[in-house]
Amino acid sequence: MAFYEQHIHEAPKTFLKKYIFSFDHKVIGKQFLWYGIFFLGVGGIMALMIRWALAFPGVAFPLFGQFLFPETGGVIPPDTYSMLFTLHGTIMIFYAITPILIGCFGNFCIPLMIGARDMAFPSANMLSFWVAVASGVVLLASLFTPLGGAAGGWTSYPTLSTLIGSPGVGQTLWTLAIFILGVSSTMGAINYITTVITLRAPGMGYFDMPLTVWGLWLTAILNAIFLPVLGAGCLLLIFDRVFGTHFFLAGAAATSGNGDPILFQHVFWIFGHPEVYILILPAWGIVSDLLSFFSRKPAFGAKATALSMTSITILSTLVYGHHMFTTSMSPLLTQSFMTLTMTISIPSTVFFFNWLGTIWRGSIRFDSPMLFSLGVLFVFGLGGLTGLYLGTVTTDIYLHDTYFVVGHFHYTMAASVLLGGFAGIYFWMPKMFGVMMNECLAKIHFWITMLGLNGVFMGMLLVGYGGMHRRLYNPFWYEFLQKLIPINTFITWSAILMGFAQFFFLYNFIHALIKGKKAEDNPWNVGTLEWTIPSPAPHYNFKEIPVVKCGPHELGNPLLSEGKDFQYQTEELVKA
Amino acid sequence: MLFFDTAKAATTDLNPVQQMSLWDRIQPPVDISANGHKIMDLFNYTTFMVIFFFILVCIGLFGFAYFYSHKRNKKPYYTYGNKKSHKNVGLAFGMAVFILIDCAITIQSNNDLVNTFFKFPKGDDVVRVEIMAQQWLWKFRYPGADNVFNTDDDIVTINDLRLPIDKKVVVQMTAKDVIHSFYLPNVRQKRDAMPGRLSRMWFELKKTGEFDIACAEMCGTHHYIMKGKLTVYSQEDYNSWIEQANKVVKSENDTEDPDLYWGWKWQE
Amino acid sequence: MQSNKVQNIEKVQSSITMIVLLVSFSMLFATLFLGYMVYRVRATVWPPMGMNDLGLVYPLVSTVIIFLSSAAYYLFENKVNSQKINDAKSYLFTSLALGLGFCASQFLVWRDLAIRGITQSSGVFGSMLYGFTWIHIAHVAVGILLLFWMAHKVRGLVQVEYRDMLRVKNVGMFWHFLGLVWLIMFLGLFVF
Repeated sequence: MAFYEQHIHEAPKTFLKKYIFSFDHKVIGKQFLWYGIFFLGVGGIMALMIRWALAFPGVAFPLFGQFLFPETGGVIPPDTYSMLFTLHGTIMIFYAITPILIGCFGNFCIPLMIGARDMAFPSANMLSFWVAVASGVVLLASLFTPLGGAAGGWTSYPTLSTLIGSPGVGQTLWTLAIFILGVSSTMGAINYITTVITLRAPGMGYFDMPLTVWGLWLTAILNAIFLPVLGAGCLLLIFDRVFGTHFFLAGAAATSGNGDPILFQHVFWIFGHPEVYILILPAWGIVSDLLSFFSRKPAFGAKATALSMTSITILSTLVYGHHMFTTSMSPLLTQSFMTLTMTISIPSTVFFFNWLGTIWRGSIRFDSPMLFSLGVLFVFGLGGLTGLYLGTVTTDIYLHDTYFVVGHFHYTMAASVLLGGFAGIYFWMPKMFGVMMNECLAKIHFWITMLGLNGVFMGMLLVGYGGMHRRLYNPFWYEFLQKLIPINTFITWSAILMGFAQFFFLYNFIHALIKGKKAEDNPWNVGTLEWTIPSPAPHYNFKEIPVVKCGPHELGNPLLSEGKDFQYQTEELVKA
Repeated sequence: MLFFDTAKAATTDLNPVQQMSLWDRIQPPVDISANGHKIMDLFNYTTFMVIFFFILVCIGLFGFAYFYSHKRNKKPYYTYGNKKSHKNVGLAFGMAVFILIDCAITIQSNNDLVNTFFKFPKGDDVVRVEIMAQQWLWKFRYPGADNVFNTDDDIVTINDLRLPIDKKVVVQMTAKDVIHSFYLPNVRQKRDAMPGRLSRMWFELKKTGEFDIACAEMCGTHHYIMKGKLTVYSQEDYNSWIEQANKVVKSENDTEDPDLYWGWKWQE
Repeated sequence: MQSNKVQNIEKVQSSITMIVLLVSFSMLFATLFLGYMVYRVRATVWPPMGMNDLGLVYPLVSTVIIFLSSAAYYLFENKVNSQKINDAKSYLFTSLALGLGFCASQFLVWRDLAIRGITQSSGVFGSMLYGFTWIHIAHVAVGILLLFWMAHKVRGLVQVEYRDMLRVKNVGMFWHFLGLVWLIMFLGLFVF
């Protein structure tokens, strides 16, 4: 591939051009970070409200319960509870993980790590951020409609999500917001794909790219292909709600037409299953790199890891039916989806094994990015294994729509992505903001988060095994759930602990931004291209486009001269 | 305020449950079905395998973190992990996981599906019940003395399902408004009840008693109180209940009311 | 004047972007067709009651118009590539006018369907007829805006640069793509 050098633009001068309407991928990445952190907070508070209602039914929510729910004396009412779990899921997936992992790290890291000066399409990049903001506004607006926000679960199955189950305009606005966000993410995806293919620095073959870029690139490919599928589903749902079409309307409550609610489920999960891989791939990439950097040796089987991530990307398109085992699909279809789902184990085991191989015989430093990466190893190992129960049809018939599923996807999606995201923030803080975070606070943040997180999600696996089903305002209505009350209370206390731990992060982050220790150019002593330029990165990234001469994980080479245990990607590989 | 008062009542009425150990608490509800153990046996096998491999992972994770920390191991082992020996170990590990867990549970589960759960019983000795799920209650329909569904003599109940032990039961269901899911925790099974479609499930009960029926698909504000009661009788008690119900069905059923005829022709 | 090397990269970048973009749009329409195929294969009666005759005249007119619009654009692209700017302008305006004509003919299609008693609430098939064509025309509207933008750029054009040729090619790909989608809809929904 011939190499193409982007021009060095003049630095923007006005406040608006520098911080609000910037074309610079680094600024846009940071904008996505603020956006994502804001919604992470909103989604987190919603989670705490859900947990409060589950552990202490009938008790007013502390602090602002009285203000939000004056009619019930501060107690969360059942219809609000439905909105809470709906929006918690929606916000965490689309408005927290997507902006932070894909919007922030994708934007910030890709050009820097491949040696480019910016994305292929900076204006489309800026547009994708502001479209995401528009989507956020529409979503928040939906909360202030007369009948309230969407309350049909983040999966929004018809006919609950049609006018039959959700008469208000809140559900329509929710669907519209998701569609708009899909447009934003698709724009971003096209940008990332083109950038990785065409703007890699000379000498950087695909397997010389850091695995972080692999993860982000594969995510972008899945996004570009499958977001339009969700878009189509959203449009058809909006048509049903607003223009009187009958795509998903059925049953006695529908006045005519013979639509099929299950069609929506198929369309939704054709998107939905790749979506969960979209959410985890960046974290897998980041962890693969960080484990190598902090073990001071190359990523074990890096090429195999890249290829495994690619095969998981491909296989993820074939397995969506395992979300629908209880919908009485034909037995052949059911069995096929089970078998295909099992095949994903193979590449997953390969790259997981490679993670262990990376730290094996390493010389491990336990800085906070490494602690969080090791945390991902733990939670993803556990969460991934619990997926086996759900991919098997007979066990899934018992476990479907119980808290076992909730525990599974929170371990794999929430815990792994959250820990991976924190690892990324602590790691790239110097390059993004030119300051270092406080290590002591970071370690406290890690341990308390791990403690709380495992309490919450292991607890959920247990109550799910005990049969507790999902989306219940008050589970104690049922005799068979009575004995799980103390475990539910334990989960809530763990969640509160986990929420409390985030204050260590917030304080650390804000303090670092205001008075943090100034960072060196390469505080972690690693050789990927972003560490060859000053911290924080200048607006043009590279004064001269680097020429890549070796891989991204050249650490611990015994032939390196004294005092140095890594090489930059721009240095010739030291061989015997 | 009904739901708040009931919640408080539920939480204070804990006495027998209060004594339970953690181990007892996390056990699934008592299995009253003939085939539920197949699901739980597979669950347990998977758990043994999962724990085994997770222990290996933890040995790797914590062991390597301890023995190969910077303090203990100053010189890292410079390898790309692409030597033949590395690849072989990886392959062996992957194959072990795939064969011992994935293949084993897929084959077992498939067998259970084909030979048990998807093999619907036929014939006269089968108890058939139609279920209409709606916001927010369960309606059950027995065919009555004429053994035909949706006729004047059908026994129709609300939230009240009564079944005999040692007889195969097939339930056929649909939903009136939104998607619900008929969930019998003590039978280890659930099936979605969807508007515009018929779905079905079969099971055989082995223990008498009263058990919960729950809805396992979000169906609106009162999804959480969509509770039914499953009463399992001995065969004699069931027969006398049916006899009794047949006697009063003429006076119970308002044959002028079209809503009575929510049933359908049974699909074999 | 850009060097060949830079032109090459821009060409590659442009092609990759267009491919990904078209894959994305294809997935949107493919999802709609998937739904249609599943519905049609499982329907016991086809066509559904009361929908035997959808009226082929107006849809056929739409098809002809959009085909001609694509043909005009193709000729526009040819003239641009051979630097014949004046000829190019007339072909572009023809293509644009035909594009607007397509939109008009779509309204006629909908009106005709309504006269036959088929609305978007006429069951799933009615929903698909309207819903799919609405989504299509929304994309056509975007295409028309692109053609207007192109007309504006072409108005003051003296010398065609390489970058202009790329732009013409890309907009053309999108426009022809929409024509192809319409053809599939026409054949799938109306004819067969």
